[in-house]
Amino acid sequence: MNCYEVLNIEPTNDIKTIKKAYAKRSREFHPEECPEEFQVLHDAYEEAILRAKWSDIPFKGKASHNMEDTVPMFAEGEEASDGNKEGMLDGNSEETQDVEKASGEEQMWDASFQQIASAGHQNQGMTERVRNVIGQMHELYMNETERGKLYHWRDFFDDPQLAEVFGSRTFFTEWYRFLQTHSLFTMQIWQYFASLDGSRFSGEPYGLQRFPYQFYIERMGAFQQEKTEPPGKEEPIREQAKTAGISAALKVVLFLAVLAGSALSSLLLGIFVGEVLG
Amino acid sequence: MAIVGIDLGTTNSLVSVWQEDSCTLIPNNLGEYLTPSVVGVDENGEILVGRTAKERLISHPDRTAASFKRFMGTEEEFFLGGRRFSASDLSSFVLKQLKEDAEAFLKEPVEEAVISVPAYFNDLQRNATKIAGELAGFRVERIVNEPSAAALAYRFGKMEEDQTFLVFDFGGGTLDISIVDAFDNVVEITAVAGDNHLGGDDINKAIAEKFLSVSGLDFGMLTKEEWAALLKASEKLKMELSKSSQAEMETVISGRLYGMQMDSRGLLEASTQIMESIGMPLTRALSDGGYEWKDIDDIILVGGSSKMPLVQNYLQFLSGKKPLSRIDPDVAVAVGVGMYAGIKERMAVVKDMMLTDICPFTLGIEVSQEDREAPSVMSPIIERNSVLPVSRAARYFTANPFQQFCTVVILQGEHRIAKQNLCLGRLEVPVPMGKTEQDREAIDVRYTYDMNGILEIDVTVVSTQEKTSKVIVNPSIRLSEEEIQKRREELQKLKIHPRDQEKNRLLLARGDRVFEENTGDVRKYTGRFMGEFTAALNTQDARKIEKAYIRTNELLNIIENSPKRSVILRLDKYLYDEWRKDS
Repeated sequence: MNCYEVLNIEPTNDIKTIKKAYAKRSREFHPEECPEEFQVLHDAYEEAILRAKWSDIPFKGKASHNMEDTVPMFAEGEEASDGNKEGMLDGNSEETQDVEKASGEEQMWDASFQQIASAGHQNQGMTERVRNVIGQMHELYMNETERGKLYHWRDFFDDPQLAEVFGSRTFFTEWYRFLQTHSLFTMQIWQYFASLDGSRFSGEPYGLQRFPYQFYIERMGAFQQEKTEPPGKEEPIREQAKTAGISAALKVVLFLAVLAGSALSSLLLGIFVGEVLG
Repeated sequence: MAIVGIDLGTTNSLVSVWQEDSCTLIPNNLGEYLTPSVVGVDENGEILVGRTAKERLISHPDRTAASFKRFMGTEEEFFLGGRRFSASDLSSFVLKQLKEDAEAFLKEPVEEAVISVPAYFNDLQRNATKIAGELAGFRVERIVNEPSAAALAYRFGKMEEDQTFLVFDFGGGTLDISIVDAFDNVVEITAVAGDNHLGGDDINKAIAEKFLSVSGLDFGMLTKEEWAALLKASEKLKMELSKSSQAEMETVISGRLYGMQMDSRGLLEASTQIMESIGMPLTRALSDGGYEWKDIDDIILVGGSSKMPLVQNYLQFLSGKKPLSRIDPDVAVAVGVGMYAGIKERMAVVKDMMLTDICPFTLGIEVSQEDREAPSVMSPIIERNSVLPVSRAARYFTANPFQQFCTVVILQGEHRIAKQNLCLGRLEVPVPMGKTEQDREAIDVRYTYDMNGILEIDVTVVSTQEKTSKVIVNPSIRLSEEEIQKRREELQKLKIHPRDQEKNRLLLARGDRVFEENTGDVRKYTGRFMGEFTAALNTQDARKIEKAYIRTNELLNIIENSPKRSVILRLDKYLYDEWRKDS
């Protein structure tokens, strides 16, 4: 049975007729009641629609599930899809006409929409992946206790599955934007980021100016130093003196201990000698 | 007895019913159609649902759960106030509340329901939804796909026309795009694509990020409360930009007031990434279904985020058509489900209406490559977006002439490399050993995926015609009738907070939140107002309580809706006016 026989119609390229026939037949073969018949019906319907869409293909009246029948279909299908492309171009020209009709303000909007659409088209799914990675980084950053641990960030950048992401332009623009509002890293992490930019990935091919990592490294460096040695410069000296004092005291104690030890041992020795001689 | 239609959403849920000749939305006891899909447990161990629970999301994060629809059909458990709940349990609380609302509205018991789910939901998730319905005390008549329901809502009154819709469902956290072909009595989904983690929340985040970078602030400086308040302000800004071309936002961070102005162009710049991400599933849905924009008759908008003019303009730019929003995008699905329930009720026509389901993912088999070193790849048998029920067969050959067994590894997913896909099961098939190097055995593998999401695999060895079959019922947490009954009884033991006081309770929760969000004088005022309201509640005098409710509600509105600088001024004015009226 070919697809048109299943649908109970004459071979046709009229989509409306095919749909009507399918709707009518599906009442008899409801998917919940007769699943097997419905499958046959649905396959026939799909095939009929496909043939109608590529209406250049002449109907041969052969068995529809035949391999010989489907192979030439693909060859001819390419021509048909060329035809579709023309149709698409037509659609585009209509759109451009619409744009001409629109006011200046709307034109400006359309320009940015065009940019978004073509960008979305170009990096085919990269936008999603970048958004995903940046999202994960944001989550990590918001976790105050884990944020400062370098190995978490290494995990991101060393992941081989993400290598492709880090090479994309989208990632770069997003990464720089990310750093602007996520900057409370330790100096070590900043240094790590700076070392990556240029070796692991680079914005230069995209004409992007390098992020001022050095500024943050210095700022965080100064901040961290301040944190470890709180007020002024006198303090460290005094501290040195203190440690010196401690060591001096230690030496005295040690000296005394040695002295006492030797005295004790000489005493013991004396006793021992006395015993032997005694 | 009426059958109700329920749109069980990720952020909001609705219930509707068919009355006479149209679909009526049923308001909840706060007079709103949208009930937030949020469940909380309060300090007394009582269950809170809806707005009241939502208000407590920030103040009691460990006692409140939201967006649990994402975890339907998984074994993910939520711990609220020391109790464990599955996503089905939590959904059942929401459904139960909707049931009560419907019963109060219709003044009769309601036992049957039609519930909608996203088209990409697999059997496991559909089943979990059904269980949730049963736990809530419903008999779930049918599960309907959301895009089909939305299409049905728009087709009402013009069933004769043939239409192809693109349903653009852009919610708080998900984007679902479906192409629905509707003609005669058939509503057929031909393609589904989407992004599980893209929604209005991402736009709020983008605005918040813009705000911080403009103000020279850093995410690391924010406390949890400040971050929540900032997100809220961002959302408010987004909403305002839907009405006017320019809006302002302000929020207090580390004791200082920061503000930002934004116009629609700024919003576009801030959300460029999100708009770009919309394009991908759109093209995928179109190309999967074999459509071009010119084949689409209408675009149906569904979900709160699709109300944004920015999104609508972008869609119009892409398609050259004005998207339809005749029915409020928030309620479109609910209206459609209600209609379907109505059709179902008048049994006569139900068989006429045919809503088909599709298989949302590709099912295939693992095959080794010519180069044995290379990882094995997936060979698809049932392509994604095939209409159910579907049965497809393919022929495979043994890799080694002397092998005695063939392992059929059943895969689900879209990745080329076999390992990256989900393995549903294995099947060992004995094959006769070949005699020469060229002797390769052939096997036919047939996959049948039926309406109930059950996958059946038949493997036939071509030379011997020996048949091996396996049925894969999803390794689910499929509950039996008794287990559902038992769980229902367990859940019934939990006290649901008495709903007659819902309004007051909501106000208390809101007051707590406002108190936390603010500092200084505003906070002191809030504390005072809430104290006065609690005192009024304790009098148990209905008239006094009502009066205090109106007053406190008004005052909280002033605090939340006026610019930060003039809050105190406006409060003082209100109190002065009140004092003058009294004296």
